[in-house]
Amino acid sequence: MTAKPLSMSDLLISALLMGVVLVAGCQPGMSKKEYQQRTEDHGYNTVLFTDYDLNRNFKDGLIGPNKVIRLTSTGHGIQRTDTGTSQVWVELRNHTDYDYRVEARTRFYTEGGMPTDAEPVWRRLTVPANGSAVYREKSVGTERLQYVVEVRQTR
Amino acid sequence: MTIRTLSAAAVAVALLAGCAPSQVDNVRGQATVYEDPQSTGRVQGVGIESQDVVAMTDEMMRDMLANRILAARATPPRIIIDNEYFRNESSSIINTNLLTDRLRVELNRAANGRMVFVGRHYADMVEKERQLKRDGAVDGGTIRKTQATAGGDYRLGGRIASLDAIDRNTQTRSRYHQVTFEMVDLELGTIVWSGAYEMRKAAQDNVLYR
Repeated sequence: MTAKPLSMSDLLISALLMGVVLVAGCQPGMSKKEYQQRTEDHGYNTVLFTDYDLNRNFKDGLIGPNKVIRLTSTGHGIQRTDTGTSQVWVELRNHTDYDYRVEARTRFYTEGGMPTDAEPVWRRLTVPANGSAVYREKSVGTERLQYVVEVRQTR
Repeated sequence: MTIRTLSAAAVAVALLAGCAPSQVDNVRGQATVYEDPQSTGRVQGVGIESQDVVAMTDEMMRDMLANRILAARATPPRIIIDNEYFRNESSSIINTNLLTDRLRVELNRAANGRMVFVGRHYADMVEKERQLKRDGAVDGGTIRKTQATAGGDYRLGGRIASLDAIDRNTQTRSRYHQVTFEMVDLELGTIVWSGAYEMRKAAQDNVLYR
């Protein structure tokens, strides 16, 4: 049983196949983690970093970091004001050595999940380097509400 | 010989220049595009811009609706919001109606009966119609007749102030704006609600506001 020596054409085909496999593996497609973060159902009473440069779980490119945590939310909640409207608060923490100017807005939902209240407006705030800042937003209606807060870098 | 040659050359240059096609820049311009008034647009400077108008009026509206005196009375208070007592003392050019009109409109829509708005800026329109009715030139309408038009309980006052700075080396301009909104009791003269909006912007671009 002697192995048949590989011909030149066999070698070429093998090299081509290997190349195709390697190139396919390096394609800049969306990773599973990125797809998950971009499409996950966030639910209500949450803070979303719509700017993935601020906070993300997936790798950005071949040599990019696995996880980005420039800004995080250390707490958030909702409470009633004296007139029965609702006030949402979010405490943002800056993990970098630079001041961050961000924008945040709140969309309010009824308990049934219907978007309600006045159109959300971006509100600017500065989160100092290695410090924290509190974003607050009030509703205009007096019914019981749920919320989703979006945070992005100032444009 | 040299003078002759030079003269000939000068005449040739003059003739060629005369025959040259005139330089008119008529390349296709930038197409008009809509921009989000809530975000900074392509033209941005240190003045008060649409995103600032939207952000500050929205913040004041929400804050007023959380004030007990203004938004939790059994009888909704009558409120006047116009630019009669809203002054622009800043170095920014802005029509203060942009602020007061947006605030009144948004507040009226959101208040949903918790406040009643007096259209004092339409007072002459109302007076003319009332006079026509009283003179018998037109009938009384279908709503009701009142002794007089509505008096206000509270009226908006406010001020826009600014502080400018310029770096003469880089020509970078910086402008700090402080916009104050106050609701004044029209009988006592007390201020029942106050709100302030601050911002500072820096830019090198020479943007003209009109």
